[in-house]
Amino acid sequence: MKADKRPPAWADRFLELLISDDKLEMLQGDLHELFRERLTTHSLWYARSMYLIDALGLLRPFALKSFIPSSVTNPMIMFENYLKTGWRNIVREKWFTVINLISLSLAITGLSIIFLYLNSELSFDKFHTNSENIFRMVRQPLSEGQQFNEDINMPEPLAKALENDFASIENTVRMYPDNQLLRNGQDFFRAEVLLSDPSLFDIFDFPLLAGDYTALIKDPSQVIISREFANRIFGNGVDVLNRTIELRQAGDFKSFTVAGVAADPPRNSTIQFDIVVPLQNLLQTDFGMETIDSWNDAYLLTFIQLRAACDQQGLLDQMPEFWMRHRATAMEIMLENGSWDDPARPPAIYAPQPLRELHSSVNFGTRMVPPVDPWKYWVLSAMALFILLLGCINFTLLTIGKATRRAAEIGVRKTFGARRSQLAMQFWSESALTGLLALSMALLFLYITLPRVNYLLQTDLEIHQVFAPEVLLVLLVIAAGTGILAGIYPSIILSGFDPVRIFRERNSGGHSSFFSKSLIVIQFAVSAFFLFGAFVMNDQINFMKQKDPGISRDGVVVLSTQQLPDQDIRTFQKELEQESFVNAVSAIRFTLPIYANAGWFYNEEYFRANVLAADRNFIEAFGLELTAGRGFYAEEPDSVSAFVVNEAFMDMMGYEQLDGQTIPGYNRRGVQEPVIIGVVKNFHFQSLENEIQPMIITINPNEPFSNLMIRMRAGEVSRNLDLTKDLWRDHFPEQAFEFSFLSDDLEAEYAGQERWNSTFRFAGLINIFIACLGLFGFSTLFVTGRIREIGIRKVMGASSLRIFTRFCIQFFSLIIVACLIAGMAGYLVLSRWLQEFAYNISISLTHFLLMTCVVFILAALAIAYQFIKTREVNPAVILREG
Amino acid sequence: MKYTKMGEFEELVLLVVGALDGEAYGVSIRKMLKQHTGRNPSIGALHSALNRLEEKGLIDSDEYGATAERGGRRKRFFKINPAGKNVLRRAFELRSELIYSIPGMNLTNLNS
Repeated sequence: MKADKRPPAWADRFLELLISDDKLEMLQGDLHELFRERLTTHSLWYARSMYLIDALGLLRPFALKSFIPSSVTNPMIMFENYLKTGWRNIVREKWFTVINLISLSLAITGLSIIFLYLNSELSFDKFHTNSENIFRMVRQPLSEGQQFNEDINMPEPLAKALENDFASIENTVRMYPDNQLLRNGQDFFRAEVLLSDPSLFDIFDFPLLAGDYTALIKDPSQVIISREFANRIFGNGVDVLNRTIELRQAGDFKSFTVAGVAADPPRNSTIQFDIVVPLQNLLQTDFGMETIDSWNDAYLLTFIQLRAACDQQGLLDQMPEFWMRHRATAMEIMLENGSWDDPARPPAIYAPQPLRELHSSVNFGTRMVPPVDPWKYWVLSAMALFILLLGCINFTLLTIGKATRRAAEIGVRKTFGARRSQLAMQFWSESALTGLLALSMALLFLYITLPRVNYLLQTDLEIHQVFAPEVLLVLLVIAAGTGILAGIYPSIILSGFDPVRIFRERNSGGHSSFFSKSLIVIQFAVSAFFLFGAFVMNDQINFMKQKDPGISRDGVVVLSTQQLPDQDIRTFQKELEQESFVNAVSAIRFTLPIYANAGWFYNEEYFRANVLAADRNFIEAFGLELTAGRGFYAEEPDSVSAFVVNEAFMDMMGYEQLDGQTIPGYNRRGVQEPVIIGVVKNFHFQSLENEIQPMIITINPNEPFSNLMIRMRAGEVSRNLDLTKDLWRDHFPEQAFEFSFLSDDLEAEYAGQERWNSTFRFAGLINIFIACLGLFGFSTLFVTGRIREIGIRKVMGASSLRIFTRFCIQFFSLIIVACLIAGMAGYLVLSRWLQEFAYNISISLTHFLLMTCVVFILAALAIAYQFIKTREVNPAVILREG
Repeated sequence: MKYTKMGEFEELVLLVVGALDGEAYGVSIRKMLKQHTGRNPSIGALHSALNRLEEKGLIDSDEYGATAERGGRRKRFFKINPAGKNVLRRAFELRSELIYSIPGMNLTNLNS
């Protein structure tokens, strides 16, 4: 019989896969017999085709394998046995159990953190009864590059106008979050004050624990205080109703009476407050009076509550018309000066944005809880999944590695008729059991890591949240799921062992198959990638922090003057300048980083620049370098319309050289068409993430200052600060002394980046820890399995070191491959990340080498123990035992 | 009277299994069916019918007789059991009873 005249082998395998065991033999036999018969009369091709057709014809219900366990007996009995054997195995192999448990519990910890995090993030603002009907008003531009950009700050009359014009709007609330200084007797506190209409409590669910918020409607000097804040100020358990507090508003302390205590806003609320103060108080200030009925001053957050089941689309459709009706004057001006040319269509509309979108609308912070980019969820989930992957790989590696020790058990079970699916089920229940054991360890890890995680993710997760029944249930599922996931490969491999082979051969283990090698490479590649990322990020952040910003920042202290009377501050400033430790003092409106935009139209073009409003001495005092023209004279004749600009500004205007140009179209706070008298070299007044923006430096006194920038001489900082504080106390005994260091303010820009960097480092360390644990376990198995080989080599005269080196080369070549993969992936991902920064470093070989070194050292530590083991091998003992 | 439902194809297969008298297995049944009826059922269809007959308790089976053509695989031989014979007999009786009651149909007519 010719060997090639056989039915197609793959068709047989296909049948073996699908046809039930008790039918397979006769059916295949019949097919083969028919095939032989056809061969005698027909061609091989015909016989094979008919074989295939017949084989397909066999796929009938009666012949197919049942994929559902068909046992009619109670499976629980077997489960009991599985668990018992599983437990014995767990106890017997202590070392491996510990490694498995740690790996899996780290994986479970990662998943649990992500679960808790997403659980709290996705529930943001959904706890309000009316949450579906509450909207925030935003201004949306209908065309690009216009004066009306996206904004959440709304003018004062908007809320009333909406309520009057639309019957579908049930209620509105305007609010203005502010950080104010609170005085209670001699103590000062910083309070998150929410200046708001009392309708806040009608629309949102912020229940009062005591008192009554309706008092706020009649009397604007009544306030609501949060419970936590009340405890902080007055002490625990004190009756605070009708107590008096003082808040500083517009420069003066005003007295308020506590009308009620509210439950603390939940952590998943965008709206946060320590104290709710009636908005009336803001509207009664000089600033507030000007904004009443003015559609041009936008500064209030405005929320609306729609009536249930109203036509939301209809409301949106009426918004263009609403704009035209109320902003007619502004439209006229725009049409006149040419900045708008379509009288039938508004340049922007006021649009309602659903409350549930607040937390993810990255472009619109509310000054309360900063929104979160949903992109962050994906990155964090990916990190958790990587940790999960690595943990599961450890479990797989070790379970397969020591599988030969269980071969006898599998053989016996199979001989007694255990089905493959039953064995797989056994291994799964074992790994699920390990997963559940790992959960208790994961809870411990969770407890240890939560403070760090809370810092990294900017959350307030707490361990007790875990013990809510629904969360605990999910965690149990996560734990069992992790175990099952980890057990997939082992259960398939182990249950496939052939009993005959098991008993005939004595397999000693110690093989490192291609599969195990790839798993080790994956583990180290993933961990090396995270470390690589952490190194590069760290360098980029240090680069941004250390690059000379072009403005003196060392020893510069920024002192908040808190809207105190100008004359008093000036006197204080004069005296401070006389002190020996002070180099220079300059009053400034906003301290760095500066994000104060002025915009103006000229020739139908819209220009924007940052405004730095300061004293005349600012340029010299803080080391700004002039490239053309001059700075401000110390006294007259420089008028308020003399401006110094930066190079970026000259580029924006298209001025090649300074030649007495003006800024046409500029009109702000009493300055019209100013003259440029000097140009300063570009300096970094914002984060280095951004290109240097156009900037103007003005001495216009109508830009009120609110900070003093003090440049100290070299010397002991704390002593200088104390002296400054003493002087401040002399002048303003009743005011808080609030200061910061300029270098800190500038570095604060990178806090977010630094947290990402730490998150990467954190994940990287956990990953490499898991990988090293796995390598430790795997190398132990490797050496144990080859103990006799080692014995023979020793007899032949090899030294322990030589044998060990031989093994090392195997592992280290894997780690080199892993590092190369990580290096390439890291280069691709990180160079894209670096492009997000206007000023960036380039990834160098040093980063790669650094990462490789760290990975090598850790891996070497993981297998170092094997050297001792190799050395202790006594050939006489080992070889005799065999 | 217990009546076992049986399709026409099943009945044929049952008849062939009985006729082969202990030599009935997949390939031989198929061959005989082809000889007597000209039908050429697929192995799948045939075994499906055999499976149903076995489930109805009309035939028994046993495995032996491996040969080289079958790649060393055993055959499954099917044998008709008393219940199967009973069903065949009853079916035959039913048919002959009814066929005589058709006017103009009797044994002589049938033979001619």
